[in-house]
Amino acid sequence: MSEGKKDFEMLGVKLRELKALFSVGEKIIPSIQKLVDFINEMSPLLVHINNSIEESNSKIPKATDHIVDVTNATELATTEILDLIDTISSNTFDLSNALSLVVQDEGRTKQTLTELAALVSDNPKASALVKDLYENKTLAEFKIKADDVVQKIQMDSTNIAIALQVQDITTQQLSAVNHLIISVQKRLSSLMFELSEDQIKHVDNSHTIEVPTDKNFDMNASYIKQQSSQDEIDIMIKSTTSQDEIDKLFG
Amino acid sequence: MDLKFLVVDDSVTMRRIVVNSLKGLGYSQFLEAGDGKEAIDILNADDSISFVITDWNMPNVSGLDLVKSIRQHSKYSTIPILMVTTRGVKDDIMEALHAKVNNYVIKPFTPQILKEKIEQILASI
Repeated sequence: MSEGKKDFEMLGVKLRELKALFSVGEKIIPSIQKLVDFINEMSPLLVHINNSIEESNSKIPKATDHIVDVTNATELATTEILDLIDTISSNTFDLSNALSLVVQDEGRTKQTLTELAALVSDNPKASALVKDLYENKTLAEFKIKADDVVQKIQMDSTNIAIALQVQDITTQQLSAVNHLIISVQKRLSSLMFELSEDQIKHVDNSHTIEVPTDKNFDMNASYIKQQSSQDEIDIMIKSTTSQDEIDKLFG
Repeated sequence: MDLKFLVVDDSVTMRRIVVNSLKGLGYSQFLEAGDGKEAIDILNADDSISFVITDWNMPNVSGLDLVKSIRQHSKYSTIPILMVTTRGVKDDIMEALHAKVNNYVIKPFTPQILKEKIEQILASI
């Protein structure tokens, strides 16, 4: 076969391929047009999403600052309450001591009355009056009641102090929330960077966030004031028969 | 004998509550540390500490790492340690026992529970 004939045959093949390509093109052009229209319609939405992410991202540092402020404020308030509890305990202790002194004084008074009773034993009226004074139980009764009240105040103070442990527990919960918020912010920042490298330049970076390098909180911390929780732990500890047994669990 | 306690917790509130509870139980000697690292420094400097009460979740050196450090250090490896923490799941407790804490108290605790655990530890050593 001559070279010229080969070339013409090849040209025919290529033309048929080109025709087939145009046929396919005619079929997919409407689809491509639809895709372009869709992208055009989506563009404002994507810009809106990007702006929303940027806005949310810029607000997150303030949110974490607020949480830290709340934590500090509750710690300060708790310290003030503990100061007051200490003052109440100190005052009730002083009151209890003062009452004891009064009762001691009463003992001396009764000793005096005993001596006086001996001196006036020949005077029935005077003896009766001394006896009435001696049997006056007002101070002793008052002391018993006052001691009871002091004990109740001290018990209430202890219970308030126990309840204040909630501050430590909520601090851990807030730290966990802060940790999550910071994680979300990091993800949003990377998402913004993926969407538009230029947009990231517009992010307000005036608030720098220090991402915790280690977790110093218990995400599951909860204020469950139940003896059962401690009982369950005690049972668990008792049920572990030996240190060897525990060590085996950890290889 | 009056024990000298080292109370380790990053929460000032919790340290104060623990110390106040110990005072209510009749104890009078306390030192405080805000994390495990500070606690180790205090233990290195003070030979008279006879009991450690520590939290778990703390910055720098955690309570668990503090327990491990204490147990590895010949100078104070036998010191009694009570862990007081919010972490109440079995795996955590087992890990603490593996690290050789003497006992474990879950927050919130009462002075009575603290008393019981201290007495149990002292009776067992």
